[in-house]
Amino acid sequence: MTDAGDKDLLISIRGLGKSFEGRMVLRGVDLDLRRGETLVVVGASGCGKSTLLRSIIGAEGYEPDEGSVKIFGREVARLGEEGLNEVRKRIGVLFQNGALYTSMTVGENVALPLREHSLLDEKIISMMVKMKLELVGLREFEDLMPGQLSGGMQKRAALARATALDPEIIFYDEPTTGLDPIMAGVVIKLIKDLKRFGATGFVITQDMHCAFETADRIALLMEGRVYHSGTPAEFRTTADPVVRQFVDGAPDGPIPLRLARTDYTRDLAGLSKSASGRLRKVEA
Amino acid sequence: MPERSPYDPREILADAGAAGIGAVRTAGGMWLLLRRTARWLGLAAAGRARLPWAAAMDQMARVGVRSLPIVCMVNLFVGMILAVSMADLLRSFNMEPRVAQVVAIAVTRELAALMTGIVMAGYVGAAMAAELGTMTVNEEVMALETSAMNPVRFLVAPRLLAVMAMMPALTVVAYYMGMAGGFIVGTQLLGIGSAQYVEINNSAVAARDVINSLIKAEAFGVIITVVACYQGLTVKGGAAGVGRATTTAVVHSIVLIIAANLFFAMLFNYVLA
Repeated sequence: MTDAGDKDLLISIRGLGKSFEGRMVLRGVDLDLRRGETLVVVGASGCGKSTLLRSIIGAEGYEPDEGSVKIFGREVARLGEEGLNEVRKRIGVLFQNGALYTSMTVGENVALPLREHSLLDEKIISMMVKMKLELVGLREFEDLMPGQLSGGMQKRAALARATALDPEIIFYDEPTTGLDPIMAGVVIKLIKDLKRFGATGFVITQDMHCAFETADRIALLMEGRVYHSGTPAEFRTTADPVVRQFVDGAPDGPIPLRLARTDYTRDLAGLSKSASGRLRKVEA
Repeated sequence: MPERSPYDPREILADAGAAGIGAVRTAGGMWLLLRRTARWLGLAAAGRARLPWAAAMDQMARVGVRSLPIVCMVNLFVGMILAVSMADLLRSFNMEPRVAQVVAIAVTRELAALMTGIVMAGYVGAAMAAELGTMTVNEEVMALETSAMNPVRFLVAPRLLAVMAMMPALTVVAYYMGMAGGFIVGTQLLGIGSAQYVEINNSAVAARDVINSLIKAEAFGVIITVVACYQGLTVKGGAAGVGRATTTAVVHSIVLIIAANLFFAMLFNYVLA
């Protein structure tokens, strides 16, 4: 039942399915994350990347409908509050918009996990905060409020907070989205730095540049399944038309531009209804 | 199958059913939140959990100090309204000085706690729902959770503590302001002597009324906090969702406060009389 035999298999997902109000978002995802590697999950917006991430970290409302999600060899759905907290002290999450606590200064944001989960002296905590902030280049911004920082700086401060407890796995939710190219480059460099220091990374992104730069392995998520997974080199050279289209960002290809499933002519004539993909039968 | 008209009785029944399910879900969610918050407060009292005391103090300042002026004003006016509107009736019995008694009893028994509760629902409840709602939308609440920090312990418990500390205090202030309103009208407009007014006023205040209304104030505080925090933590749909949650929080807590007031009126006047 457990993968206790394989200590380096940090995350193992089998047949994960999840739907929201009848809409299937994940339809059987299989993925593994091994210690030391950085796995990048790419996919179009709305393909279920965020849902996948939230299922792994045991967010409320994202419990799997089917399949299993194991982290550190333990089934997430059966961890309970205590177990979840144990697991969560060993991971760090960089949220898409940083999600810094807006009522606290940058320094207090970074200090909070240390104050809560360690018995360290306030002096040592203050030193660690400075070290974490120096790592992301924000040491002199310790006393500012998050609202006074730019988007990219907020993300870097959030990264300092996510790494405060030296987590074994760091999750990155769209780390480069919404950043200018230079700031995106900075964040990518930070991800690589953290990897060099031994952190395992789980990145979800739609930015192929970020994926190629940071990944040991890339998985393409499409229609709620892992369509293809392989090394960045494989992704660069593959002939698979779907992967090609995604990597090259081509508007034409096997992934359709138009997402409506109903017949256009009939829809215009008022004969069918396309709301949420439901097709109303038309009486003869 | 042709689409049914929205006025079809079956559609109306279905909508009513959905609304009913929603109401039960909200009530259940709030009850669970109250229980979880009570558990954390209990654990903290037993020394087995740490609460963010600094945050609680900060909330007390926000809840108590900042709403003091508005609570004062509203209750002063309520006292004045009572005195003005009762004066005619009492004059016809030639018992004008009894205005002091009417105001004192009305304020201590019902109006100070009720008006404070309603003012706080609009002032503190709305702010709380908007603040927690924005935090939810910004993923700050999820960030707390994934850092193994329980949002109930971290956000709700200090707020409940602050409101429960401040509601009785504000209610006591409200007594004085209501009575002061009556005093101003009584002595300035109705020509009652100030010594006489104070004497009648003081003899009308009963310890039992004060205790009962402080109990009510605590209950209203619990209602305001739990409703606002529940709405804030369950926000869906971005900025528009925060706006909806804020309005809903105010409406729900005012309705619940008035309903609870009726319940307490029956309890104190009939069951425990």
